[in-house]
Amino acid sequence: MQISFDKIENFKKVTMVGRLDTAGVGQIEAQFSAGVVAGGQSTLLDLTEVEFLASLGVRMLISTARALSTKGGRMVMYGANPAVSDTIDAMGFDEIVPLTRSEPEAIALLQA
Amino acid sequence: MAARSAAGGLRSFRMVGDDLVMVLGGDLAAIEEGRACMAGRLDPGLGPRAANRLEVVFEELIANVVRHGFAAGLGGSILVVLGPRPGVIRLAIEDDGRPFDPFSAPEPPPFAALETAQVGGLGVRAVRRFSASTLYDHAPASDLWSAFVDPGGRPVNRVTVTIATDG
Repeated sequence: MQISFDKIENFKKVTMVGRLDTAGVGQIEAQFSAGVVAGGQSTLLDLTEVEFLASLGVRMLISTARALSTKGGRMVMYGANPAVSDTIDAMGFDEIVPLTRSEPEAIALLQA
Repeated sequence: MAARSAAGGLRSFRMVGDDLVMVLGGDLAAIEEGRACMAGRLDPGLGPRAANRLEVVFEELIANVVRHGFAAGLGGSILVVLGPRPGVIRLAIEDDGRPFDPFSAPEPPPFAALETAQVGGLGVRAVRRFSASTLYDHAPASDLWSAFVDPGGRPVNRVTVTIATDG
């Protein structure tokens, strides 16, 4: 599992590559959480190259989004493939961390 | 009573008829090594949606056994039997950990707000959503368990789920 940080407009962008499963979460959780929460900037999470998502990954995303919200930032996910989107839907957590199809849609949501 | 093995990961696998039979150790390496073994032997006609659902269900159920069924450091054994049945793929998981029914806890409430979101129980929620049927029992071990894990035949936990192959 790999993770990288960029900046788009006034937002932080996080790109993940690989499997967000038990092993993958162990590899990136500390870096992801610290990198997103520091500064409190609203964050775009690019899931385009995430191949798989399990509940431990969802827990990490919720915990980090919650910590970010205490600093006034929001998180929006985008680009989930059909398998990852199916898992997000099954767990119902796009109700609290929004999921859009594309980056421009995610940016528009954060600007709204 | 046979001594518990502490060996982890994928200990062995074989085909029994159309079923893939894996013996896994009771640690988190069992998830990745079991998944890799399973992925190379899945029916290509399963479809990507059903294949993903099977992987999610497998990961969540094995993780539950490892985290809740076995005392830390003591290990244990897990038998996985995976194979096609009419219209579904059937996944049966037996383990010799403490009795633990993953379906006994009530489902967490639907998410309402980030601040109040419960993060426990999400794995079982996904298993329920992705499965056509779920069953737990604590019962005498199967013949496969006796043959490949422990001939002593003491009671085991058994979770059986089916996943629709048409996604």
